[in-house]
Amino acid sequence: MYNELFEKMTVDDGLKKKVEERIDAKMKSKKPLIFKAALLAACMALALSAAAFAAYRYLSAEGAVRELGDAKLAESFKGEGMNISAEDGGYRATLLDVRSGSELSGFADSADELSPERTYAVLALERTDGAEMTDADDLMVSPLISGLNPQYFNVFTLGGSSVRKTIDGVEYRIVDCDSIECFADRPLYMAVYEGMTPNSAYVMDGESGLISPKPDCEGANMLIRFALDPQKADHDKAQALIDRVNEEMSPESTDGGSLRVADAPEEYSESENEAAASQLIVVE
Amino acid sequence: MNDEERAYFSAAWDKYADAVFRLGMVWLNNRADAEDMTADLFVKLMQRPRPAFESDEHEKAFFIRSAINLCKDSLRKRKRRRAEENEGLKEYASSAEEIGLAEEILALPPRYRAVIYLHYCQGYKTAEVAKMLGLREGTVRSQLARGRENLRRRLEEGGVKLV
Repeated sequence: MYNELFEKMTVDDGLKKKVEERIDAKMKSKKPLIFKAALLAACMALALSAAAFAAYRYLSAEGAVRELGDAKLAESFKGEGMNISAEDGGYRATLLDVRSGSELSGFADSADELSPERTYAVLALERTDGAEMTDADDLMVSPLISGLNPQYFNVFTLGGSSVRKTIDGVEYRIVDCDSIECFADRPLYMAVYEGMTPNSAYVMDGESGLISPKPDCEGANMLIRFALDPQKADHDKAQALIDRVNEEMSPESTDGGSLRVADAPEEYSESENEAAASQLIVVE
Repeated sequence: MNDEERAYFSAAWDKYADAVFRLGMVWLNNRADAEDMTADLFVKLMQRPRPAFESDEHEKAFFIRSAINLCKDSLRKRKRRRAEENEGLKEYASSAEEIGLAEEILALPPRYRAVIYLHYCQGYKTAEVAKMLGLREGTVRSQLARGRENLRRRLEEGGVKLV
């Protein structure tokens, strides 16, 4: 009975023509779509070039993880890698790759017992003046999740830790945290910045949930946007994680985060390449 | 639009416009608003680089989720409608049964109506409906169970059997 009622509801025959005319009128007053497509193609080509350069310049994620002593985890990082870079404040950060799962690492610690499903990110960090990275170059790395306040959802509240090693002047770092794969259907970020908590360097737009670096922030604040397989998103797990973090924070933190899944599908459904293209850097 | 864009628009319209419009009717219960929402969606679609869809299902879900977003925007902007709300779905009903069904659907909040439409008419599984509407799957299941039970009870009280 439902179907019979709804099948009677069809758009007016003339509406298609009216919409077509509206689109034509809008296109005449703006850059043609083909130009935008060409611009996007150029951005993609440049992004791919940057990725190709990163693949040449640095150890692979697998290689870096082996150098850091976790042969078991390295096995999870076979493949081409993300190789997405950002640059700010005299530093360049390259996200080599990200993996999520349980029992991936050969070095289990207390965090694994509490939250066995973990996300591992491998990064290459370097100074743009070519000098070797040292202990004085103390960059913080944190995953951030669109729609969730960086002040409350970051590497600290997600049970994170890291190991690092400098090889040929480049610091390779593995950052692990509670798995964020459940948020795979929304924009995800890797923040690399100088400071402690990410809210000093990043701000979330209250309407869209998108996160961006604060322009007036002192010191480096890079933001690498990356994508995971949206099929891996799990709203129940995501809500459980949000609930846990909110519970652990102070009772006043009622704006800790909300599951804004259906509010920005147009953003989420756009090409992943367009998202990567928006994170271009100039690679020397 | 060039020929390729026009062909894409025409194919997408023929494929999805009715489904988008029906979702608009369920959510907004007003033909004019539902048509405006449908038109806006396709205009927005053609103004951006074409999204890369992995499959027809992915493409359909994009249209439905975008329609839900635009319906929410439309409701927020709406300044009138109270008097007209019950003239939307009911204008399509041609029997006492269908009028009763339309009235019962309209007695539900918009998102609840969309759960019924997406599950029973579009055939989406509860997990898929939950994802589109930003709900937990358990919530969708209980809404379907409660909604269907309420519909059944109220229709049967009115002498109508729910098939």
